[in-house]
Amino acid sequence: MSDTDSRTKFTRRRLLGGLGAMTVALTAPIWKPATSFGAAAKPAKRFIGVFSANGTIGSAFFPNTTAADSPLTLGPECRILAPLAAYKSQMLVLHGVDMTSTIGANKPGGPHMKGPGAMLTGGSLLPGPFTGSEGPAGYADRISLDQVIANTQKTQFPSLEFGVRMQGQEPLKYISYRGASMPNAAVDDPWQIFSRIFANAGMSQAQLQKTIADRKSVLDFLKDDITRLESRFTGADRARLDAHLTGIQDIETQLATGAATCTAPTLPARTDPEDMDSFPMMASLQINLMTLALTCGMTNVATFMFANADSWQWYPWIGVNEEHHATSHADDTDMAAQEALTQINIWTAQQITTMLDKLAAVTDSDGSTMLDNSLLLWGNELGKGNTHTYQNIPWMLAGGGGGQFRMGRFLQYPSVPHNNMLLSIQNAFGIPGTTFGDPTCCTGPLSNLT
Amino acid sequence: MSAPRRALTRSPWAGCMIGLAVAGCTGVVSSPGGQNTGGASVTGSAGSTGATGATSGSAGSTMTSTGAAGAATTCNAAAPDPGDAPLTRLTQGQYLNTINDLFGKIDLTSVYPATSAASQFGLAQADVDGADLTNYERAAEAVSAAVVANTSTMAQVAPCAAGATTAAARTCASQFLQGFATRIYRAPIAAADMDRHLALYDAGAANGGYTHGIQLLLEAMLQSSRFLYRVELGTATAVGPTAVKLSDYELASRLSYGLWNTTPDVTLNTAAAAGKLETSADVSAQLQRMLQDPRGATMVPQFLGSWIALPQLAGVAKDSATYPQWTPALQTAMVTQAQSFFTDLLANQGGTLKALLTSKTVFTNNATAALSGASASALPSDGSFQSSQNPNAAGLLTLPAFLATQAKADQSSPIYRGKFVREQFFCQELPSPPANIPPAPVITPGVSTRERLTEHEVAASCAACHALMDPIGLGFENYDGIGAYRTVDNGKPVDASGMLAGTDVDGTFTGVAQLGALIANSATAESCVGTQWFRYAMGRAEQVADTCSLQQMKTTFHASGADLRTLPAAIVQTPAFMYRRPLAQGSN
Repeated sequence: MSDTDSRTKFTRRRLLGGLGAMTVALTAPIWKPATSFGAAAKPAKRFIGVFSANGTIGSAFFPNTTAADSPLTLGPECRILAPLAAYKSQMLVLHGVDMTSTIGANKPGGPHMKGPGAMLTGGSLLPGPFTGSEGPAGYADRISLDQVIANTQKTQFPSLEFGVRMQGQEPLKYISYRGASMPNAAVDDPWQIFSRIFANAGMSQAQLQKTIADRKSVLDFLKDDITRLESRFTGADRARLDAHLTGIQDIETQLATGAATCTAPTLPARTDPEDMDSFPMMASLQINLMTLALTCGMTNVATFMFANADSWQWYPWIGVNEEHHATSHADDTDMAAQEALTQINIWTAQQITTMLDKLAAVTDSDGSTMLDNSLLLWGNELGKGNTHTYQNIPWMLAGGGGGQFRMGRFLQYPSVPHNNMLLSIQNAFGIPGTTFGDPTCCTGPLSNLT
Repeated sequence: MSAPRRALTRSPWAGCMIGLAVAGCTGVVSSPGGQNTGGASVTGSAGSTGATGATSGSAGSTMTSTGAAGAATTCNAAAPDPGDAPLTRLTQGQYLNTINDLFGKIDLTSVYPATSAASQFGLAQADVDGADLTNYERAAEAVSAAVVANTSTMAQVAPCAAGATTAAARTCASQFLQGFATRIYRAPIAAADMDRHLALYDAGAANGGYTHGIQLLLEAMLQSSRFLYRVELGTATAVGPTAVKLSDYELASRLSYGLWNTTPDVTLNTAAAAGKLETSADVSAQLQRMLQDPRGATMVPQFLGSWIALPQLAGVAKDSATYPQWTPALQTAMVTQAQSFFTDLLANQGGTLKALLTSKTVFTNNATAALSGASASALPSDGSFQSSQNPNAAGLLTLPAFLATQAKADQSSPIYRGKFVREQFFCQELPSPPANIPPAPVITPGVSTRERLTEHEVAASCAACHALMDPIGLGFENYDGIGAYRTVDNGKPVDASGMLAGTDVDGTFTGVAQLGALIANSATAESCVGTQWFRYAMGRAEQVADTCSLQQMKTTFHASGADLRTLPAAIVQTPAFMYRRPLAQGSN
């Protein structure tokens, strides 16, 4: 990944005299691409993992065909995916890819707890104390795909985690894990995200230089400090401090590479992000911030959670005046509930369409679009809400992913573990490997993708 | 990080690809914390058709002192084992309280807009992530800037004569590090650590004088792991082979965060500095002082509230068609109602476990009146609560806040309520439900909750587990999904008969009042409350090594007649609280 544009920018910035270049602000529009200063730089590949809750309605999601490999047509039966029709040539829909790694008599966690922890890790939950959703269980037992990719990045932020109305008990709120029991919280407050990624917005150059010098001194102190303390401990305590030290080093990297390369957008006046009714507004703000961070080269890896697993969000703006989770338990014969669930999923697909629209509108350094160089994976905690099945998770891949996969198809598999899919994506990002997640659950890359 | 919780595994690692079989209820109930302390265990017959399953195990034993392998543990006061003491980070609440106590009121809402209502039973703590660290940085910068901008705070924290020379100012910084900094780190700065602190001061002072040097020091110290974590290194003073004494400062922190949820105050700090936390009598004296402080009196009620998930009640959603009266105002009133009961229980009702489970005293205001069939107009219009006696009441068990939390969005839940009783009062942990469970029965007019649940007795895959929950929870059927009293459920008269099995107080009962009386007589439940308190107060799950600490604490609790008010003092005197295991040799 050494020839990605962000790395090139960094070099350029140093050429311009280090800190002085950090205040360079691109003029409007905000969506100006993260142009590379070197002419021949290859655009970075971006990964976006999207989570939604409580399963889907399979008959309204999957195309109605028995063919194992068919062109993605998105006929009228695919009501949920219909909003994405403009992108069907850059999409893959997968059927029969199961979250098998969650299943087993000795795998802790209630039916809604397991999915988020497994979705990107290909693992399962550790034993632990969380009982909020018919536990008990702890956090996931290994690193997630987004973090595997993030570990190869040289961007200001290795990854950013976005959420909308993240509520409820641990570990319902996490799909991103830096390692066992190391969740990355999906931040559901756009104003908090804003202050993180535009930390220095509004400072004069003199102020900025002083702040950077101060933070550098403090970070040096903290690294020394934690290293001294760490040496006193062993085992889990030491690992905990080591995780802290790694985080401090990441902040230091952000300080070194952080740049106001984009104009900070103006957020509306703060309102309560936990308010049930503001869900669409928060989703919209978060989508804007996520695509902005990707466009500006602040990060190449993001995850986005439409509420926590087991979500009890209501969707009155689309006529769903009941709780998502409770609705998902209704019997298959309850047509009103089936329609409500379909509407919720259609709305989510519309939000993902917005993400793709924004990615497609950005031209990368080589003339391709940012969508051509991105891979968005939309998954779910469950296949179907009322059975709590981990089979036939509604997986959807979108974007060019740098041309690694043959897109525009609907692929059906005879119940293969989703670890295989995660492995294929890892490989598509140029990260070698022959297994992903729990190795007993992985039988190799997903066939017929490349 | 957290202690291994249970050993439920029936078989060695089942390979992923063969894991597709339904992971049904084994019928085995283990005690949380697994392999340890007084474990009641219930063995049902997995998948047996409809039978409740044979019950066996040592249910009812209080402290069996039985370790993992079943070997008896001998408790030797001269060789205590304090168990594990994992390194914990300040909770958000502790962090904010600490900042407030150190520096006075500083607005941090830009960093922490809302106080998270995380469970106080914080048995596992995730490692810091990038967002946490950014928040720490922002908060430290905000606090430091506010402190140095406020002359009266500066006079308290790091005084220095106006117009001091560079050398004199550096001496002031040195005095700050030897003085107030001790409160920030909750320990004195070792001589060997002074230089690197002064070096940071110098870097700051060069960039803006004394004030800026102090500002930079504060920024760093407030992000230091010594501040953010509860660092307990212990001392070289061994107490038998498996324990060392904590330093006086470390013990002061345990007392303060344990009883007040904040940093040690000046009195505790002074006692630590003077070596006045060495003896059991010293500690007892501080303990009495701290319990008499208003902050000390909040601990038991907070424990009780946390136990029934009171902080989460505001997030409980209900179906508006079924419960149109479910409003934020009612939820808030329910929380106050529960807190009023806890306060009265501890102040006026003897504070016993028996009273907690059998009290007839209820608090009602105009918002909650309808739940118990009282007349709202007969109550004060300002929303204040009045107490009265209700023959149906059973203390905590009939609090609407509890009943509404342990219920579904549109109906009661005998399952949740039965599960709560079994797990929270008998410390018997139920296995996770299997994947791919069949659809729940839909609510049909004229079919009661009890009738819908009979399906669990028919379906073999459900019976083994549900036999452990449903018969208890059905005793709560006089209370609907928001805790309102009812005698008719979906057109059918309520049948609140229930049954306790697999406990030391087995038997049939009708209604929650009778259930409360049964549990109040249970030695297992009394022991379990002690275990729950241990988890709450120590912030970790109990382990085999804690057997003697638990035994000691539970003996004290029992001798008091199970007076909940004795719990804080009882745990402070245990090895788990007073000592730590010696740190293993670091590799550096």
